[in-house]
Amino acid sequence: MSFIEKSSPRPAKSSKVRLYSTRFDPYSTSIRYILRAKGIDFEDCYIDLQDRPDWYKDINPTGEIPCVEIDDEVVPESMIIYDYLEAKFPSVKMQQTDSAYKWSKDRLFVTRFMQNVAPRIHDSRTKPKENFDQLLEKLKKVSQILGMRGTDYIGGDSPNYADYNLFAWVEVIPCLKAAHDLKIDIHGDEAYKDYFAWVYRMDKDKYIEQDRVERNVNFKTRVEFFKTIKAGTPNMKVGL
Amino acid sequence: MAFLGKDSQRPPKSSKPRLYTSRFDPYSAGIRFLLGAKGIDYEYVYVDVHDKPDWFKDVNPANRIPTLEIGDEIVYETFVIYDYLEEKYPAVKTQPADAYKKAKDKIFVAHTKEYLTTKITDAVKNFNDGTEAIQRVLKIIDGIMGERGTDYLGGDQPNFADFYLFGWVELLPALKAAHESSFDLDRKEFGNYFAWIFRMDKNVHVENDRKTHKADLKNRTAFFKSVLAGSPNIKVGL
Repeated sequence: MSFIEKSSPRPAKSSKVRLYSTRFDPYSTSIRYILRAKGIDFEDCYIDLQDRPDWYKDINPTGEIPCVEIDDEVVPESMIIYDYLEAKFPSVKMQQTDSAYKWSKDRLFVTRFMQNVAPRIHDSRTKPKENFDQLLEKLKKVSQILGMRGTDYIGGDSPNYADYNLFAWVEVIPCLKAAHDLKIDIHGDEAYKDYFAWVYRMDKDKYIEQDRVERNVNFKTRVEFFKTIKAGTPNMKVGL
Repeated sequence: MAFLGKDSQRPPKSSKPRLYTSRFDPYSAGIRFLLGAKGIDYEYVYVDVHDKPDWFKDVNPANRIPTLEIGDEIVYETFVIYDYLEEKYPAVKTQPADAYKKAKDKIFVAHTKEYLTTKITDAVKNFNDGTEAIQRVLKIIDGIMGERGTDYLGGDQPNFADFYLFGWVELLPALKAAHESSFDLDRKEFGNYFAWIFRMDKNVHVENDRKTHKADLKNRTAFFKSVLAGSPNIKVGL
């Protein structure tokens, strides 16, 4: 992994898949889980979003992360990255292939989650009080959907990209709660039963655990990071 | 053709694929061109988007068109519909086979959605203020088309990215007319874009769609005029 600042030179081409990302953002985290689950060897290039190097615009004109680079092929936009990796590395499947309809159900779940729930999580980093109540209401809906599916994971017997995408976002919720000292507890609430059963399984996923250990990105370091955002001086390097 | 509004009933199941749409909706347009290109025999239902029926939420909880219904399978969100149709009807391909080429086309469509469609939507009510921003995006698109050097984004034939883009930019001449604007793009400066428009305008699926829905320049212009007048008339020209 490397931390890229304004003055950093553009890194040389890699034999591995390169992920331009930041250490804590859920978009990048989700892609990392999938890279690991698919057994793809990759390296992280953390970009300082407050101070991007000029050459990054040559790689991705919009300047956004995450962005995947494989030799001369550069792909931004999470959903497009999911599909690109799925096509490029087909041996371990992270998307439904049983039927077009089953595939579309997962895609709709992810799309609607990203449209309706992820922004609440994102905005809770700086404005928790305005967003947390709505967020918890929406988690009830997520719990219902997980319950209706009736399988251990959205992917069935094992997690697929929809599970990893969902987990990458919801795992920051307890961290936001702690960083902002919010006195809310939904653990005993029946309305979240299926949600927490799923969270409990995902928490023990070996690729998620691998990511925590290798990058030292866990509950503790996330809370520390959110506190630095709250203080107005985001520090991506906490705990390192 | 029925226009289903608040006082309507949910139509019974069909043996054919059914598209819930509206005549002049630019998101639907791309899907309709694609359905034509894939040779899919489908029926359509006009949802009155200004007077949505209560039952429509049972079809699509997001309450939006286009929505596709094939038996018990209901799919919505434009990008999801494109991918679903590609899987379900693989005989005629409308996306590149190569992983990276497909990603490039998807990025093109995603950027078109983010940077162009919002500006065109804003231009419906306020065309003259919006032309400069639209022009800037079209310049980038012209550049991409020039770089690709093919007749269509899809190569020799239009693909989903061509259909998506055309569904939106075909609004521009109608908006120009409805606002009685003298705005014009320089034909030389936007040479690649105009050459592409000229080809797409003659595409058989685009022409069929115009005929089927009576959604030609004249009616589209009249529709936008009715929007500007404050009473959108979805039945204009029928």
